Amino acid sequence: MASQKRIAKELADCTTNPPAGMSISLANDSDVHKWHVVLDGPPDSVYAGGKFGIIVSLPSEYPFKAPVVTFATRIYHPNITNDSLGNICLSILKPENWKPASRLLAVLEAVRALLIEPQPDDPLEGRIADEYRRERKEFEKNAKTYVTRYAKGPVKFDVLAAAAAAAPASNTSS
Amino acid sequence: MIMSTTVNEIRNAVLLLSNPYWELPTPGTTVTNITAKHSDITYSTRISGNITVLAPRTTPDTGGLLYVPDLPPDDVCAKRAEPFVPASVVRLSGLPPTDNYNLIALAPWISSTCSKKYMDAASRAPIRALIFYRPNNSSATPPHATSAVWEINGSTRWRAKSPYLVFAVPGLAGQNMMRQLSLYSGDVTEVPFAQNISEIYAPYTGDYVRIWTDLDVSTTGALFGIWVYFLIIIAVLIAIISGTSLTMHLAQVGRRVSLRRRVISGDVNLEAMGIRRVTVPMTEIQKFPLYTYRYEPSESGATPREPPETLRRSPSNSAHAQDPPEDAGEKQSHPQHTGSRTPLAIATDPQPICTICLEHFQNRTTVIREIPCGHIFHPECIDEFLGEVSSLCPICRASMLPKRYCPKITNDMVRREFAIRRFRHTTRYEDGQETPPVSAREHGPALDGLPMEDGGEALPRRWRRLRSRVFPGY
Ligand SMILES: [Zn+2]
Ligand SMILES: [Zn+2]
Repeated sequence: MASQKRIAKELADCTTNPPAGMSISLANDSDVHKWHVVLDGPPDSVYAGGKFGIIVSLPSEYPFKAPVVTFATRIYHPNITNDSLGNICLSILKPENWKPASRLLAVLEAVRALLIEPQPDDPLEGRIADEYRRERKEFEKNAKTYVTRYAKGPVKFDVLAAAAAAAPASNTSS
Repeated sequence: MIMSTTVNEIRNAVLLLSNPYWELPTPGTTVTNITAKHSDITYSTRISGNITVLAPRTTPDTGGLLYVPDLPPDDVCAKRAEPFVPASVVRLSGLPPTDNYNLIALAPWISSTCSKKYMDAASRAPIRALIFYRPNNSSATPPHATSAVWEINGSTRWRAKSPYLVFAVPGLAGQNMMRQLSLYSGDVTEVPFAQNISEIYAPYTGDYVRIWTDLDVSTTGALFGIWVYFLIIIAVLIAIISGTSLTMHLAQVGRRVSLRRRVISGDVNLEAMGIRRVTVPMTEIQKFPLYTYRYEPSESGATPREPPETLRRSPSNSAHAQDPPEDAGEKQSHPQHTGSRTPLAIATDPQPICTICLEHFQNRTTVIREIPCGHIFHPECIDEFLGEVSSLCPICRASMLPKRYCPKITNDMVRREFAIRRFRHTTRYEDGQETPPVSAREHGPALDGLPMEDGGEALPRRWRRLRSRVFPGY
């Protein structure tokens, strides 16, 4: 299987015609298996104005195995762990849901959609999910505080990239 | 456990004991079994089957020289025994020095008092056993050991105290032994057939010709009983253990068979349930047809051998695998896949690329494999996927397993399937609540889209955690 070839194709598609509010690059030019994505907080969401670093790791078995997506930037969100790992719970990435026909473009768009519309019924952060459901004002305030604190200025991947690489297994829980 | 002794048989024979060197430090004794060599000129008898053991004792299967214990000459019992015990019977004084021999005592049971005296007298000699008989001319088995006949001072407690084996033979047999004992006494010239014995063996005058009694005794003692007891316990334990494991094994086999049946019937999809990755056997993959890709929208309807529209399905209404329409002519000699479409077909599924590698198919050039759901791929792409990764179509997740196919079911799979079924059951129950309390939401099930294509079913988070735990490599 020409895994490299397919990744290169997808990378070309994503860079020439990037999805809305995203810029995509390789973490390291010689390795197509790790992507760095900078996502602009969707304008109509509480994350507007922030810039979020997202790391996409493609396993060597890709596309037979799902990519691993983590947030390098701290974010206050029911479906993203509120820690330095930034694990994200995305239905399309679950092993039992992943299909080789799924594209990274669709994955990234799903991530963006999750910022616009969190899924509190399937939370990684139960407390934030409850707050989102019951005290939306409080949630919005907290989320915006996080944006101000963590998602302003240049996006940094390095520190959290190392953390994510050190604990890749934790992604399987979502 | 009660010790039990059985005297199976008494064998009497006549021995010639030659002791010419008694004065030497190590007396040499020559023992000749005359009965064994010349049964025609000697006495012998066997008593078996009608012997009653009175005082059971463990004793080796050897015998001894037969004699009658001495009662004190002035004892009343000696007087009373006279009619039954001839004066010439072998007494202790009529035997060779008993350092070298064991003895068997013979006495009539005249009365309990006299029997007691015989037993006391017998215990002063190295005897193996004491044989009683009731002088009643009976050939029947003597009464049972617990019978009042054998009471001394109103009880049979003596039986437990006796230092040696005591048993009774029928009256007739005892009387006969007593008579023979009176014959084989005295010196070698006085015994029956003394002439013949003298001619054959030329014994010395100081030699003895005496009756030897062999005993065939079998004992099941306390020790043996304990062993039997242990053996029974061990046997029972083994039976319980093997029975339990057999039952468990059978139960496991039963559950495997049940799961297998449900897999074959289609009720359970091992892979869609996340129980186990299943791959398609390569021989099955090879059966999926190969075609040359052809896609010529401008020539719609130009190809007469075009497959019916049903062949091309939209990925969204995929669900079930369906055999591609038979097109025998095409399949036999490297069939041509007529990718040409009517406008409807183009709209639903042109499939211009292989969704695994994202390469475009080249019209009239690329060889593609069509799998039962109707989706097409490069053979090298789809073969590896179905053969090594998953049995589900990469596009529509329809199962590509042959009908009634089931991989080897393991106990582990049975456990996982059971766990998932149980979790589903609890989920259904919990989902019944319109608005679960907050605490339940935090710790209980949280809903999630499900593995199925359309995400129609909701799963608890717990289940997802379970799945990732039971199926880490997924
Ligand atoms: Zn391909
Ligand atoms: Zn399909």
